[in-house]
Amino acid sequence: MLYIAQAGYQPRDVQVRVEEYCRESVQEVKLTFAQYEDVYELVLKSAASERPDFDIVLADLIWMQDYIARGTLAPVPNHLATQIWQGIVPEIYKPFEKGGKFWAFPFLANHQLFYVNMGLLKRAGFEKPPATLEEMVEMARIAKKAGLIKYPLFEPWRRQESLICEFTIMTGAFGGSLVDAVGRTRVDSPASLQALRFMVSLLDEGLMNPYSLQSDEVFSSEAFLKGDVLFESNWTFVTGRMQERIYAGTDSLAVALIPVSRAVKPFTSTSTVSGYQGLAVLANSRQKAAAWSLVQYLAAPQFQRRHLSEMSVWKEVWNEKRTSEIDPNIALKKAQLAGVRDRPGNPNYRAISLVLQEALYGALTKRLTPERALAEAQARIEALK
Amino acid sequence: MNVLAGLLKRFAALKIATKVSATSVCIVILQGAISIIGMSVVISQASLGSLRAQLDRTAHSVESFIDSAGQDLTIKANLLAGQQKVIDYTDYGLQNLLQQELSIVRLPLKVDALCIVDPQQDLICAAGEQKLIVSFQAGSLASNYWDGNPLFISTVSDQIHLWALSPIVRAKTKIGVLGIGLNLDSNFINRIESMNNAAVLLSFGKRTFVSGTLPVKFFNEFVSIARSAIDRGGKEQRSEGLRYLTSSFSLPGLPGLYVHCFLDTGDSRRLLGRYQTFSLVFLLVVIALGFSTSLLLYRFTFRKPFKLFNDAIRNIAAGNYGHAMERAGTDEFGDLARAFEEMMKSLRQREEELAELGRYNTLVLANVGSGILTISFEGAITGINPAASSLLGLAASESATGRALEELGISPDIKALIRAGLDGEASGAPREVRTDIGGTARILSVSTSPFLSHKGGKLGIIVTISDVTHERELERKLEMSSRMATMGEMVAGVAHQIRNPLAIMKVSGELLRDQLAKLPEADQPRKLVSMIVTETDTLGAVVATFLDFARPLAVRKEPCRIEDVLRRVLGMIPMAGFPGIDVRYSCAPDLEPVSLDRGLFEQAFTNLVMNALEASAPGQSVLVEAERFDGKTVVSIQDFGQGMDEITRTRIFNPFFTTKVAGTGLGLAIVHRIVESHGGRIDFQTEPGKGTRFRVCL
Repeated sequence: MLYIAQAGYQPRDVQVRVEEYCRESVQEVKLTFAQYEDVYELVLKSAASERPDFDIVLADLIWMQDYIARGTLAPVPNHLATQIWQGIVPEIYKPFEKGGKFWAFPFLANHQLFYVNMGLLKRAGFEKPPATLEEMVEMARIAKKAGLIKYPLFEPWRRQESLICEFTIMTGAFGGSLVDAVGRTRVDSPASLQALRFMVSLLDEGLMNPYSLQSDEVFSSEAFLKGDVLFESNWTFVTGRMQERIYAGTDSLAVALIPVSRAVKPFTSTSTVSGYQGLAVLANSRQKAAAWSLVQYLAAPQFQRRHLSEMSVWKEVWNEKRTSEIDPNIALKKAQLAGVRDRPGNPNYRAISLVLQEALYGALTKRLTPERALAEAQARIEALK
Repeated sequence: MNVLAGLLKRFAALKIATKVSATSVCIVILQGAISIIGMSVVISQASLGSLRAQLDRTAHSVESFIDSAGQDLTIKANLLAGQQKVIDYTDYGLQNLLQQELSIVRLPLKVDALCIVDPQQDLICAAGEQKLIVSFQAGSLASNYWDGNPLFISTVSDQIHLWALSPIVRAKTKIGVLGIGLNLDSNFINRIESMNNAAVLLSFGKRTFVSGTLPVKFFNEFVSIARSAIDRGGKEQRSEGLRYLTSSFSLPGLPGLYVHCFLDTGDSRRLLGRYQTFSLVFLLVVIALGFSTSLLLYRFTFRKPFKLFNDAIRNIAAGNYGHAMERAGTDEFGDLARAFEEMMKSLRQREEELAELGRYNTLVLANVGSGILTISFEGAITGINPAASSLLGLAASESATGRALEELGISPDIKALIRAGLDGEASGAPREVRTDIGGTARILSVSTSPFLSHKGGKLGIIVTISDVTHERELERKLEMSSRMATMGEMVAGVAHQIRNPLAIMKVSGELLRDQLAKLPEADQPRKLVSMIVTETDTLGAVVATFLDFARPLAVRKEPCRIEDVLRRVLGMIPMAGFPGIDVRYSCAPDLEPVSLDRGLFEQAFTNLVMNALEASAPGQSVLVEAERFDGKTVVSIQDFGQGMDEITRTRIFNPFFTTKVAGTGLGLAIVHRIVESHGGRIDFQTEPGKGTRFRVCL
């Protein structure tokens, strides 16, 4: 089994669960952890081998169309598909579905939330998180002007996949999406252009910390948790870090729905990006039944109830009293599901992502105008086959 | 002085070994004391010099250490200020992340505080000890950095801080200043002290003092010393107060900071003390060993040989020249022992010679017939030979040597002679003294002469005693023989002259008697004439006897058995004439024949037996015995009659001496003549009232 080391459920927790499975099933499982950046290549290599290195892999949703197109994965058996349909919301399982089949069993329910330093915000004179982007900008300006913080906003705008996620959220916040109505990738829509212009304006005005251009989600979360950020969006794992209360001042940190532009507020209250991951069985696996048995064991609610700092994929777990006791943000996380936007589901997504990262980073660093950046990106994406 | 004189006197009275030992111990103690004191002074001076040099090194080392610490801080400040994270976090206002970063790196950098200020000198963030941060915020940064002092000292209350500054630059623009602070606290000082083995006190001006290992109870005194040094303007100066050597100086690059080094001389003193203790113990051990060794040496090399010599000398003194010394070694005592042995050998030889001479003299004295004794002027017997003891009638077991003259039970006449000799009254001529020795009358010739030493000194007198009894007896016998010979010749002459007239008278008387017989009325005349004839015969018999006595004996010897002679004599004795007297005869069976004239001896024994019978009273016995004694045949005839008085005893063998009415007085004289003519000897023992015993030895 190949597992992503940086995934929401910590490798140690997964290892314990696998060991439990081995004791119960009297089977031997070799568990391999790899960096997120390496997993895609390892999966393809194993899939191309007559004797696959792995039977089970943890698959990010952005790789699903690619895997499916390549025939890398085996479809989820029907008895498990039924469990998916019955127990998991469509916002979570849709990225793993194609052609009426599931190609991975949803394992990690991960999307971004809006994080607010309420301590700073209150010192700036505000009692509630912003409901719109415009309110957010205003609050940031006041806090900056008051000298409370030099750069109120911080986002993982490093030139990598996290920048695409941020752009997806911003596009959604302005009422758009990176996928058009017929499922094609569309990065130069008016909403996307507004979103990029907004992002650039935040930098220009000194509201967005320039260091965001060098930061990933982890550093961004650290800056927030340390109190150096007034607002930021980040994945759900930050809520778990907040609950750990490692740093001073964590009590003044809060989670909210990611605000959207006042113009689209009547239509949607929030926007976010999906980052779900599922357990898939390679098509060339020689022990698929055993593999699916382990997948079922790992993805079962019993395991996810143990680690409620992560949002479970199971609806039944959300509604349990213990869940809300341990994770007081579970309701907000559920509410955030309403604004979920997917990144383009395209077999060429990796190339699309690189093109779009280049374009967005060019605009943010003033090498390109937002218009030109997105136009060129759209053109290059369309040129991809 | 008196005490010293007394000690010297007592010392002089000690034995040589004790003197030597005491002197050795005194010398060792003196040498040890001089050594300890001298070495202590040398070590103390050397130690002080070493400590001063060490103090100089310490001062330089401390200066270098602080300088290095400043350089180290500067390097760290430059490195940290150049880190991209620090630049970014500073530039992008990520104060908390910046503080976290500073907190993370502070410990690895081993600094006490990290502070960053913006160009407006406002503190952006800080990590570390609060007092340092306060001192950093107190304007020190501004007043130093902007004045171009990248390294400076600040102080808050009782702490001294060393700061290094470095600008944080982005695109040639100073976006902040990073300060790294080091608390010059006891830990910092301890590091200095651990490298220098000296106590260090840091002061900032005269206000703040920080020490490392300086004892708290002396802290105020150290501070006082430090303030005094500061008053002197920070010039290097030394103080040797307390038990520390001190040195104070200021650091040119860090105004206000003074360093005061205190070098503890305690270790040096302890070492010196240990040396002294060790030396003292060693000295005592040396003394003990030396004393033990001296005792052993004394015992084996002096006392033992000395004892041997002492014993040898005592033996010599006791006259034991034969005492042999044990074999000596090769040392002086050995040489002495060999010389002594040679001397002993000579002495033994002399002793043997003297002993031989003594034995010779003793033998001479023992064998000489004369008695010799020496007497001191005090009257003590200093020497006496056996003859003298015998002549003086002293018991054999009685040792007279050493006794006083007056104690000896000897003749008063002899004592008187000796006293006269001691008094110098004796003429030296022998004087004869009659005395009784063992019941025998003896005649002793006693003479005294001075007893002189070889140098002529008078030691006493020498008394010489000779028994002259025999000589006097011989002289008497000679005289008697001479007298008897004369008497015999005279008797023979007289008898010869008488015998012829007697023959005429007898013949005439017989003729007359015969004539008268023829006459009837002549009986009376005839009887008278007959009596004349008879008496003439008697007289003629006497004359015959006289003639026989005077005539020389004709001895015809032949081997005879005494038993036969005695039996024949006893058989001829007319025992009827001696009623009531018993003759008892005994003869030893082993008697050998004796060469003698039988007839003469029958006459001699007859005379003796008849004398005994005549001396005996009825009821008494006469004993006739023959026995062998001392190789000779002895015949004894004994009676138990009246014995003899003194006059009889002295004249018993004289011719014509008789106690009888009808005797001629020639019987015993003839017996004496017969015995002596055979070379025998006759003597007698008599005691008045108890009888007489004659013995004839052949």
